[in-house]
Amino acid sequence: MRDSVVRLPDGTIGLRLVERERSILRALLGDLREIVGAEADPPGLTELEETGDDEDANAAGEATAAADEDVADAESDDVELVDVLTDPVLIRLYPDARPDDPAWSARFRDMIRGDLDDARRENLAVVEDTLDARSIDDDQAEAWLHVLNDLRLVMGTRLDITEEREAEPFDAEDPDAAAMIVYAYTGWLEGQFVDVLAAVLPEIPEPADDQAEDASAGDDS
Amino acid sequence: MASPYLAVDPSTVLEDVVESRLVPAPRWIVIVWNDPVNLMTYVTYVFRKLFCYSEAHAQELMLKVHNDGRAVVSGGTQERCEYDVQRLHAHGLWATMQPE
Repeated sequence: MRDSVVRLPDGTIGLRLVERERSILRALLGDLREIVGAEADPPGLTELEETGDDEDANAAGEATAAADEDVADAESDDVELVDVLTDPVLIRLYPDARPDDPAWSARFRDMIRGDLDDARRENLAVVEDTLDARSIDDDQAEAWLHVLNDLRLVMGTRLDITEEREAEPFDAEDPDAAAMIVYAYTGWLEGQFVDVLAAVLPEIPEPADDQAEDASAGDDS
Repeated sequence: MASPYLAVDPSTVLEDVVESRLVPAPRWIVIVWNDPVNLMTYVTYVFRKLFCYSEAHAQELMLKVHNDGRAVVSGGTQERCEYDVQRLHAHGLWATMQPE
C-alpha cells in the first residue's frame, strides 16, 4: 500500500487520503471532542480526603465515574464504537502520576488537566481545519499525530486491546470487528506521521560511555 | 552600580552555599509503563522529542518499556519530574513518578 503521509518536495507534508478515510476520521474526531470538550471542569477529584484511611486505588476512578455521566451519550454514527464513555478511557487519558498516592495524584490531575485539555482541543481544531487539506505543515502534522494517538488510546481502551488480543487472528464474526479495523487503520496512519516527523528531528550525538546511562540509571532497582 | 552583596555578611553567604550543597534535594524518577496501544515508533519519537535523547538511546528505553514493562526515562527534582510527567501525559504515555 502506498504511503498516505509523505514529505513533499516543497517541504510540506502531503496527505494522500481518499474521501472515505477523511469521513471516517471526521466521525472519530467528534467522538474525541465529546471527551475533551464536554467537561470544562476536571472531574470531582478534589473531593478526595487527603488523610482518609479508606482511600484506595479506585478512589480516583469512582470520582471520574460520576463525571462520566455528563458525557455518557457520546457516540459515533459512522463507526462502530462502544457508545458509553467508561472510566478506563478518562483514566487512560489522565493517568495517576503517583499510583501510591491517589490524593496527590488527584490534585496533580486537577492542576494539569486544564492544560492537557486545552492542548487536546487545540490539536483537534487543527485537524478539523485541515481534514480536507492536500498538504499541511509540520506543526499541523504534530497536531494530527497527537489526535490520532488520543483516538487510539480511546478506542484501544474501549476495545480492551491487549498485546495478546492483537496477536490473535482477525475474527470477522467478532462484534468489535469493525471497530478493530478502524483501530488498526488509525495505527497504520499514525505510524506514517511518526516516520515523517521523526525524520526531521535533530540528530543527537551519543553521550560518552561513562555518562550514557544517567537517565536510565534507576532501572528497576 | 551597587553590589548586591555589600549589605550581606560574606560569611553568611558562604554558609548558605555550603549548606545547599550538603543537603541535596531528594531525587525523583519518572517511569514510563508499557501499554498495548502506543506504537513503538511513537514512544521512541516522544522520548527523542521531549528529552532530546539520541535515536539509539530513545529506542533502547522504548524497548525496555516494551520488554520489561517499564523504564526510568528521566529524573531530578520533584518539580522537574512533575514537568516531565505532564509532558508525557500530554503525549498520551502512561507515566508515573516516585522518589528514587
